[in-house]
Amino acid sequence: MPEALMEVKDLKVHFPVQDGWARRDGRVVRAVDGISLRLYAGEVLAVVGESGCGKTTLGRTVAGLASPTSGTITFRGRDLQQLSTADRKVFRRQVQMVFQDPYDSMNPRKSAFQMIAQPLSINGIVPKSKLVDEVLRLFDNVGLSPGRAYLERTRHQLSGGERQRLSIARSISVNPSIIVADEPVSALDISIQGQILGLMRKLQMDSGISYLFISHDLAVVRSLADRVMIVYLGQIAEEGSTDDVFTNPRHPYTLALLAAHPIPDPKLSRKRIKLILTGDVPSPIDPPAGCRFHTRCPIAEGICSSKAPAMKSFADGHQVACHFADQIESKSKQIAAAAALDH
Amino acid sequence: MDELIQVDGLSTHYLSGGRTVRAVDNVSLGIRRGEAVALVGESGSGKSTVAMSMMRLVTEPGRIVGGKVLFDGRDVLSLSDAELLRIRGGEMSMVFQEPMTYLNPLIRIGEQIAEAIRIHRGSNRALAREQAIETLQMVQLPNPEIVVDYFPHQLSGGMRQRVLIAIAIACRPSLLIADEPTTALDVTIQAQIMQLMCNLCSELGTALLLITHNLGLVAEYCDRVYVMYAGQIVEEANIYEAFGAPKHPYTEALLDCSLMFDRKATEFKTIEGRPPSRIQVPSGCRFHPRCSRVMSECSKTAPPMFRLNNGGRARCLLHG
Repeated sequence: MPEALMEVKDLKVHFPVQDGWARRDGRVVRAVDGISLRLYAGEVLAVVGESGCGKTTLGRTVAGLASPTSGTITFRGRDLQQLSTADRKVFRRQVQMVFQDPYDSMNPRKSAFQMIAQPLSINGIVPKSKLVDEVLRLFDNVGLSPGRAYLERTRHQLSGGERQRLSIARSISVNPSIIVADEPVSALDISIQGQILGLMRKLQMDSGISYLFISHDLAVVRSLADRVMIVYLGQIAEEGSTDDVFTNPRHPYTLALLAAHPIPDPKLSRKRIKLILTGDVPSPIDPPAGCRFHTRCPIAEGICSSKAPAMKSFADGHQVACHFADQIESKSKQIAAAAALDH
Repeated sequence: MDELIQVDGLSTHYLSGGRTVRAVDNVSLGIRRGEAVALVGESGSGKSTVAMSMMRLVTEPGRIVGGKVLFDGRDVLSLSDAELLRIRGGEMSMVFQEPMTYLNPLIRIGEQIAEAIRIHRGSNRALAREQAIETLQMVQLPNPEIVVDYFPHQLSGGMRQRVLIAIAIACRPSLLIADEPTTALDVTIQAQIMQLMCNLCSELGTALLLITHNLGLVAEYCDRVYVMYAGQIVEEANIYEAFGAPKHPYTEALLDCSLMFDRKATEFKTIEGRPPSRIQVPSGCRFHPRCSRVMSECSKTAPPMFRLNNGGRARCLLHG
């Protein structure tokens, strides 16, 4: 195994509960609660989960936009917490973010040119005389063409897809090695999604950028990611190569996510087993004891509410945090039989 | 054929700054009693405006400029306000995308459900409260006797959507229009809500018009589909035809763009260009500048809806 570009060990990010009387009792939101991961050069690691599972906090923390409560993040072998100011500046350049709605992350008064030129000149990447050329090269790279037509546009003069292209241009302008992309295509129509995903794939191939790709959309993740991590209430439920996790899921939560994802094929979607989870995701302020998923799990038993499951390892780095991970096949037959009875 | 609602040549325009945006342009569609129909399209295609027009909820600067909406034999667009109020919320009702926007934050949810019941079913306060609790049971909210006195902020997103559905079905409507009802929800909650809504509709014999951009939901929960592009219906088909053998190039292109999760994508399909402005629509077929099967006459002749031998219709000269 090559050395990981970034390594996160037992990361916890907790936020104090902010409002009303709750402030006094010292409760915390356990947004990220013990996540470890390795991101290798040139790969796409997807983080999948529902709202409130901590995936955005995880992304912001590894990009240096939020501070860990505990745990370590190392980038190229060096601990983030111990970087000097100068090194931290280098780190910030190396790890860039792309957000879901670029409209909110763009200054309404700045032109597209200014938005790209600023990071270029602050970081001294090209001399002033070459700025326009470099901006045009970046525009061309992300498919904003003809580039000259876009130079003076402000954010409201761009479509959703063009804004996302511009924000990708901005993040690659400083030659990062990692892009943390937080739901980069969720706000786009499906006819546009493919353009952005194709662009991200191209950049990965051309310049070897790694992505930490945060998404709730399984189909998008399936199409792009090399490895995938399923997160539930701040912890990893299952992790492995995308092929393994999608074709051979071993955590009941992964099974449920796959079963709930609508497939645009009426023959397939009506044939498959309906596994519908009951209830809502519990609060990350007071997560359930034992396995955090046990309150919604269709195969939970006594042990699940008392003992948190350890990570079990399977072939090819496939890891699952479930007491019954090795019996999932017989268990899922049990689920299917129960679901059939319901109908 | 027992048509419950028949929309005929509906046009709704928005007038802004002296310009006319043709949001909905000569749209015709029909829904039979008890069936589940989808109206699918991308953002800006006009699908929500169709729904709002069917409920006569379009407000300035929008204006319904033509067409008929025949609901159970009555023209919704020419009813008096009093008659309209009787139908709206009673016989036809609506569920929206963002429940928090449509629930009054200052009124207990039981009251909000009971309001519809008192108006349309003539129940007194005490009875309406009982019926509100009953309705909460139908939408499977836990502890309905307690939840009935909650305010909207005390509920999760999924539970709020259940309350909105409760309000919509409280009077046993014959048509439920659901405009992106699960777009703001997580996928496991989306499955709960869709399942619930469809089960309720079949129990009550309610027809469902599902407005969505999500082709997966259409495939899973609907019987027929209308595809909209740039303010017009471009294809109408039962779902097995629409997904198995789409007849309009736009439908086909949309399906090609949809990502499946049985394999990693080797290439990402897209539709070149972007939807046209509705102030100046392209001449001929509105899809022709983006169409992969464009022919020379496509820019000259605006295609009508052609009836097809698969039982559907398509607005494309390939079928002329």
